[in-house]
Amino acid sequence: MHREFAFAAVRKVFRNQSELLAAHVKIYAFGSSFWKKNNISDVDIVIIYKSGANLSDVKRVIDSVGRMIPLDVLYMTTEEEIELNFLAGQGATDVFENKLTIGCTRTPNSPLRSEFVACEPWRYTPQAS
Amino acid sequence: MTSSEAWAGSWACDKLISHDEIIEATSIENQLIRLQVKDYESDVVVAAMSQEQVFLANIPAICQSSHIDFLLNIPKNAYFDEGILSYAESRSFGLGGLGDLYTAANEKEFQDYLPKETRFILRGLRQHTAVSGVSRANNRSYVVSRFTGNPLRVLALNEYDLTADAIRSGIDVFGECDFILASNPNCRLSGGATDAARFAGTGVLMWRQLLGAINNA
Repeated sequence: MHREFAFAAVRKVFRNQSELLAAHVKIYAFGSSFWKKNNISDVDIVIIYKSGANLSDVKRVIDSVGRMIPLDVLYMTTEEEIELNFLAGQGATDVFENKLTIGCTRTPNSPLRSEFVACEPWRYTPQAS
Repeated sequence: MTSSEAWAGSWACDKLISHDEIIEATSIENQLIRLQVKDYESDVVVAAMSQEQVFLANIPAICQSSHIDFLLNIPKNAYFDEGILSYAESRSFGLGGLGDLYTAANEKEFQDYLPKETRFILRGLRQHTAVSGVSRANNRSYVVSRFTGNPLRVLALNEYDLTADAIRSGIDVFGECDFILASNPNCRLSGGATDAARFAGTGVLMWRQLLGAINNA
């Protein structure tokens, strides 16, 4: 699977569900799909949620995406994220608030180095509460 | 065949051709693909589907009527029940997701393909002196029969970061167990995951701990 296809497909479906997803969770992309161009077998996604939150609607959306494109999804509470220092350690990218920088080279705890952006940036604008 | 299945063959065909070891991928029927693989003598026939759970009853009919080398199921971490695992073994075709098919292409092993993790677990358990036999209840659960004591059911979860949700979802999807094996040797276990396992009446063990528990449980 080509990287561009993988990210374009994920971006399109998530964008359609952005209000539901953003209301309940934070979604980050990470992993080998950032540095591999081809032979991408799945896209790594981590979903960060508040402990005790009901994830059933979120999981329904994520599962529907996963039937069209293989997603390796990790659900993690905010407490677990802090405990495991996951986001910084993986250099994960918030799929709604940041440009989806693909092909970038990152090291843990360093900012993204945007070598190129091969697909459109995320266009999600948070709703005023 | 559902409408959600009809596209699986052409979808997979497009994705497979991007793999370095695959020379050509041709859709020959709905859900059926022929691959030419580098340094592999014969063509590889792949059936494609997309289901969260895979049983004998919902695999493409072509798997039962014709020879295939590999059954590709698109969702990552899907459930494969015991019946389809046995059937695939008896009919000599591999099973798995896109990553598994990529690995099979790299290893030039399609018909007898097993994930590396599964091979490791099966071999290690079968070599244990207290174990009389090992069977697979599904693609993540193993039933370990012992010379003395009751059989143990082990759920292997391969996540690098094992969270509370991974424990709960693993048990929901793959069934209750006596022990959860953290099968990724670099696994990091969250406190919430430990609690979730305890509340579910089980515990999370690393590989060496599991081998010890087989003697003592």
